[in-house]
Amino acid sequence: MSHVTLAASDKVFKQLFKLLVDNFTFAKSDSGSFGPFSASYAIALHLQNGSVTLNDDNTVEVDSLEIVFDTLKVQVCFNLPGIPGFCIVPDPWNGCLVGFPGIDLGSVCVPVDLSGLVSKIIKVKAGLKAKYFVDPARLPGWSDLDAEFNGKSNMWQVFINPTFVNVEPIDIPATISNIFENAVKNVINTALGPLPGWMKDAIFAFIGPILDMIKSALGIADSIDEFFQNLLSDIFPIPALIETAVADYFADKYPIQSFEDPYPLPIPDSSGLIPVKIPIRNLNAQVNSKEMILGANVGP
Amino acid sequence: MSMTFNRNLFTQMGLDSGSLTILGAVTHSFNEPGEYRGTVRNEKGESLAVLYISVEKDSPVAQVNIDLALLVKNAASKSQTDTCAADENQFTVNPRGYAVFRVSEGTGGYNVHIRKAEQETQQLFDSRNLNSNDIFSGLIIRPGLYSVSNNNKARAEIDVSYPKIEKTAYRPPGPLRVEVTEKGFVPAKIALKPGQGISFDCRTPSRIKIELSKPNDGPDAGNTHK
Repeated sequence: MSHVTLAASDKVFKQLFKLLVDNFTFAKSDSGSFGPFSASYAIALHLQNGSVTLNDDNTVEVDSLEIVFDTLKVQVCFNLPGIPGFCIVPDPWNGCLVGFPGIDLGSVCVPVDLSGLVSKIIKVKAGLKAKYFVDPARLPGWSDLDAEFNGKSNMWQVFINPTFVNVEPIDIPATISNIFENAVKNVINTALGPLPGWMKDAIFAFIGPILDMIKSALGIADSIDEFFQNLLSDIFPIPALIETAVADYFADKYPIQSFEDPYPLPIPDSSGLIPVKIPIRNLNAQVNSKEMILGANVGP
Repeated sequence: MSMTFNRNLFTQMGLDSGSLTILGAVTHSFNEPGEYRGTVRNEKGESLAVLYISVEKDSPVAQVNIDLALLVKNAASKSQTDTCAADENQFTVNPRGYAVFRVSEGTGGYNVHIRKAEQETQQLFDSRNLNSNDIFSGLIIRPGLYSVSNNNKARAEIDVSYPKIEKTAYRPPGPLRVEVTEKGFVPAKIALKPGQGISFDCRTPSRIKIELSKPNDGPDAGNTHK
């Protein structure tokens, strides 16, 4: 059986990788209730920059690939402090036998827009994977030539197959604390604006200082920026979702190189005859520090 | 961006033991074991929901909260023959325990009528006419001067002070108690903080009404939160 070997230099590989990165987009939204609060988010992102290195151990390493959040919107909803209940019938032995239940004051939903934030994929470590693709739209009775004429040829595809993707936690700016506090104030002032003065004063008295109220309502022991860090990295595991999306995209969605099978020989021909095509079998993709090498058998 | 707040807390200015709202509750002890049947009615006397109370010696329940708003809501949305609905309007309490009739949401305006389940006519409890040992409790948020009456006779006065915005969230002090006797209210002059609880211990047949007579709009009302 004959063999064929193709190679792409390190420079060409980097250009192919740039195309791969430029075509990546990811969008997701979710919501949930988490005890004292509920929250939702919507993200849409793309990748940019990053450096790729080919290694002699047949691996590819990608470093410092930037994640640009074109959209990163979060909404947090929580209850305002209520009017506490009181004891109607005291327990003669101490405590309270019968109580008047507390009354909820209301709730707020506060949006925060962090769109434009840039995070980072610290490292991707990968090998190369060759995969045979049969177009599901190809009809069973078609010959290879029919498939080519209909643009449904079988393909050999070479993917970057990550064994490891590490996305850093979303770095929430420290100013989020002021942004969120002001947003809560605005929501409350806007909602209470048309109400009589005594009513606003009563509500503000029960609410107390906004920052204290936020921390108490959301159960925040530390700072508000840490709350958002935790919300967007752990409660909603956005970095993990991006890791999975990037790994799936690299390994299955966007081949770094593909070519049809049987492969049309690049023979100049003006006769109008059908192209000469050779079947490619057992494609194998490897890298070393200088180039990507694709080797295959030729024949039926 | 949105805020919802419980408007009923602020739009209901007065209290009436015979027309319960979110701000008030009536506490009643049945004393005698047995099966009781009750109805929740509106101010026009229309029956809106049915409830059943089992008063059992062996029951560990010292307080059963009966939410009239929820009963009315369930009755309006489900058939009373519905299994779930039937569960939701059955309550159990110890004879030495208490049933607390309250309204959790909405505009309220409900009263409760209870009789023994096996007796068609004899009414044992009517929240429009509280018996001795019943308790009417409530809280008032709107600052101002209120007049209190029992069956339009005995009078008392409640002064609800204006709220102060402090460096910490305001929490009302403990509740006050007022005794309602044939002679009147003891004490008859009551000073309350906004949202502070007050309980009227009935020692005579009572229907207690609390009505705003002079609102207090405060020295500098209406500032937005800074």
